Amino acid sequence: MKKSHIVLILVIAGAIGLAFYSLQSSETYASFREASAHPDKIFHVVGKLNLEKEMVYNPLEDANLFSFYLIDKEGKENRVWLYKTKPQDFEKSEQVVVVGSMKGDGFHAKDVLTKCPSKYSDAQTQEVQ
Amino acid sequence: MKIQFNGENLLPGILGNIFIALSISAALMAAISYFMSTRNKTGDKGWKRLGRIGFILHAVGVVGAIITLFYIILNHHFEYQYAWQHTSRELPSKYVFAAFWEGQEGSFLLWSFWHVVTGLILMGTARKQESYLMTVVALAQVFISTMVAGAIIQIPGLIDYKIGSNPFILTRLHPSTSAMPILQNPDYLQILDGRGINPSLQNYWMTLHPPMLFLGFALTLVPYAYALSGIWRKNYTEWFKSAIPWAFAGIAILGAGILMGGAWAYEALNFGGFWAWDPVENSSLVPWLTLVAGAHLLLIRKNNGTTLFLTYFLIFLTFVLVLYSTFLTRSGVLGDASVHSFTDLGMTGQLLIYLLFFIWLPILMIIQKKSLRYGYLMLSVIMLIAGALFHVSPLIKILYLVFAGVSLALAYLQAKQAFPSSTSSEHVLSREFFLFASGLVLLISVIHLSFETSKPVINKLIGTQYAPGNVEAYNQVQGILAVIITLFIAVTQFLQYRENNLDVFWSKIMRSIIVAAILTFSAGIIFQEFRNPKYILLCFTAGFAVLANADFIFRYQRKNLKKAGASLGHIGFSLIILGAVVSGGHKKFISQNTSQINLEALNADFRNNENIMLHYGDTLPMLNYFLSYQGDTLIGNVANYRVDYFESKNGKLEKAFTLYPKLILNDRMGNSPEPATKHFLFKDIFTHVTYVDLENLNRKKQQAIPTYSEPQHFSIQDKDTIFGSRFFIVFDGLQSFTDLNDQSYNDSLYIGLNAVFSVFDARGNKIDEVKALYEIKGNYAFSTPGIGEKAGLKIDVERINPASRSIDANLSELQGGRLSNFIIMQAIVFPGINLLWTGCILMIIGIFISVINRISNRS
Repeated sequence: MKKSHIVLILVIAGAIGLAFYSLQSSETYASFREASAHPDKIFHVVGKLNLEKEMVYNPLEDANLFSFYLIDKEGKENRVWLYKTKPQDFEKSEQVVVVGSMKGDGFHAKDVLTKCPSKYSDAQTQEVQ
Repeated sequence: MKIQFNGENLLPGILGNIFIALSISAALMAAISYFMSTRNKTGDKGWKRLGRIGFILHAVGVVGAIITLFYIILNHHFEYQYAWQHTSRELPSKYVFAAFWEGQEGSFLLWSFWHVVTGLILMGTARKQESYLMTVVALAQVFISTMVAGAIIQIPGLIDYKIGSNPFILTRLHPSTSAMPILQNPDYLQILDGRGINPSLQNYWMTLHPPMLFLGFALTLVPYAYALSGIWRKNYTEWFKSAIPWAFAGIAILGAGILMGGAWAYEALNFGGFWAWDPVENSSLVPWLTLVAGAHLLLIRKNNGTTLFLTYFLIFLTFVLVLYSTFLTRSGVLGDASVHSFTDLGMTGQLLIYLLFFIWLPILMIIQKKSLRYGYLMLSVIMLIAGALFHVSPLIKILYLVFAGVSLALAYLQAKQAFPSSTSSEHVLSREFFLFASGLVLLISVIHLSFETSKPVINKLIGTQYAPGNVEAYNQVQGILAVIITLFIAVTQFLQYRENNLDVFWSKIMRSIIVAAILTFSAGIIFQEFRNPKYILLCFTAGFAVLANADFIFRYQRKNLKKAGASLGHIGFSLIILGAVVSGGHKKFISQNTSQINLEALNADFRNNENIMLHYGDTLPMLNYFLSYQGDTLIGNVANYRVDYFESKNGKLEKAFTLYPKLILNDRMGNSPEPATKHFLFKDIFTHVTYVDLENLNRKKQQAIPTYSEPQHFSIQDKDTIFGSRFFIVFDGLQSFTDLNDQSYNDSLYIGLNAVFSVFDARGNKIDEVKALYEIKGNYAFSTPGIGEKAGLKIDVERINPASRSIDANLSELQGGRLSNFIIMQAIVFPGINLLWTGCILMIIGIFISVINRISNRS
């Protein structure tokens, strides 16, 4: 057995270990239902905004708190508290991903990703003057 | 009924399609001819000549298609969907390049162009390896060229597949636009306007970053081709010398391209940092890392055994990872996971075949026995057909997995048989062993990054729900690896090939270790930025690497700049790491909210006070500064928010500087914020408006009309510059629009002059031209102010002084509108970011010095 072989085997073992570690510790996508079952874990919940319910952003009181209602892919609705500013053009987002965990009655999010319909694919709905 | 459309210019489209057809067929011809030429051992040059003709024809096709597409974009031929989608009448012409490669088709053409350039250089310089190398280049070009083909292959009931996406399709025929009602109008071209570029891409980085990145991508093909030719010719290490300059040039260019992306994110986007471990960023970093590892292994003089296997593996992997990166960003598989992936154009299958082909090719070539090789070839064809027919069945996935495993094992066993085995005994304390080990560390880094980046792919394949990794997790793993890598960078040059004496080695590096330790320790005492225990180790090792390499230049290379390239490159890289750690690890949100802590904080873990609210006219303390929001000005479609920074001096507030963070308003594509940054030598202050109330914007626009400031008097000569608060203004001179010779001296004397000013923004982009009119009628002078709409300023000529060849004028700037009564903003201090930029420049200069040195030594 050569030294380079030993190093190679060590590295391969390390890489496999690292891969498993990163999967084990990876956050996952989930629904509100799953997030409620594990309130201590962080999940990414994908859903659509409920535009009929109120969105509260009152920067005078707290510039880093924004709340809204999100309907996840299973159709369950939940209030979301986002500890950030309200994203610009938030109402227009087609799809919203919130990152956080469930505590009590609400989903508490540290981060949000919005997908706007505008960027590339809405050619049909564009108005042309 | 068929509508007769007016004014369409159909010729460019026809030409463009001819060029594309030419490029594909000529690439195929070149690949076949060059391949035949490799099989010909008689010295007959016929096939080779044909290959050359084919590749030159291919080059004509690619360049022709590019010129045609430029013509369409530049002249706003909106009858073509590509022009419609990526330009608009109001788009400034300086963004024509950005528009060209904003879409997938254009960026494929750009990539193709760089392959053509590298191919032509290889054709002229590769001599006896030309046929081998060019077969590979031409094959790659067959694949890339078909990406813009747009041909539909149909076998009824069996196959209905579109190959590539064509940039020359008419707007009224393109599936995404053909339904627009306006296209029923025969005169639609009179009224149709394009969509233009997304405002966040209207940036000079969009002109620089993609071509650099794609040139870097193209350069990775050359080492791949060389390595393949090495296996092919069973001459396993002869090609190293020729490939080294290419590989290192690739490191420099691809590195520059990636760093430009980081600079763009830092300067103009709202990431709040230089690097965000976004999947798209990672997917271009990963091939760079393998290229760095592979290129360094090429330097080992007696490369054999396991090291040789790793060398080949890394070089092949680099180009494969470039293709994988293309696959990730363009197939739509990343979808929600990344901010800058393209949308799916239905090319996933095609991209996958491209990727798999270039993985498969080296495996096929390494198989030594002819019968085994043909057997493997047959098996692959069967697998391909099976995949095309039953790609939905889960069984085929397992079958493919087995096939992949068998292929890799086969490749390893065959390589072991073919490659010269190591003869002498291995010494751990030797340059080659350290290079080998650092290559492996880079490989671990690559495996981790690829794994994280591929989570969406893994989810698709096996139905898991893994979410993209967070920045902290990346920093943790990559930080540890960076510690090891910087240690290798520090010490490896002090080792000789073969055997080394441990005591001598220690004595060589001891000095740098001690100095680095003292520096880290004292930096930790002086600057609190260096005190973070998480990063202090990396600060030390990166500092050690900088010092050790500097030491190497001064003590061992006698300051010979020609030979110092490698050390300089290493210093640069280590500075990048150091700068990233200091600025990223210690960035500080100074916009902390101290006055309004919400006691009912619902979730203490996620609480953040990074954003702060500023009312118009308010002044709030932040760290050493006092910040004040002084109103906004809408100039064109850009809202400029004026934020004044004050410093307290002797108990009085003195204005330190003003920043104008922006919001680019765009109804159709969404508003896009642009931060503003004040640069200092040791830190940057980054200011970013995260929220403004945009409701009823149009009504507010009426009410909040900005006013002109008090005129500011100045005298100026031709070509001189004056500075406004947002712009600098160059006086281009006086233009007369009356002919003086026609005038006779009487009461009807009339002279009309325009004072012409060019207005530039802080980056040096010309954004406006102002013409102030000055007329002399008889004995009276009249002055009409010139207004710069885009820059929001007014210039009024007071007097013209022929004696001193100067003019007196007044400048007023628009300011102080009140579109928003308040802004929510972030202010971040990035310490030591200039270490990072210095590192970038040194690294690239260093690599180029060593590349040039190698080329000139060879010839």
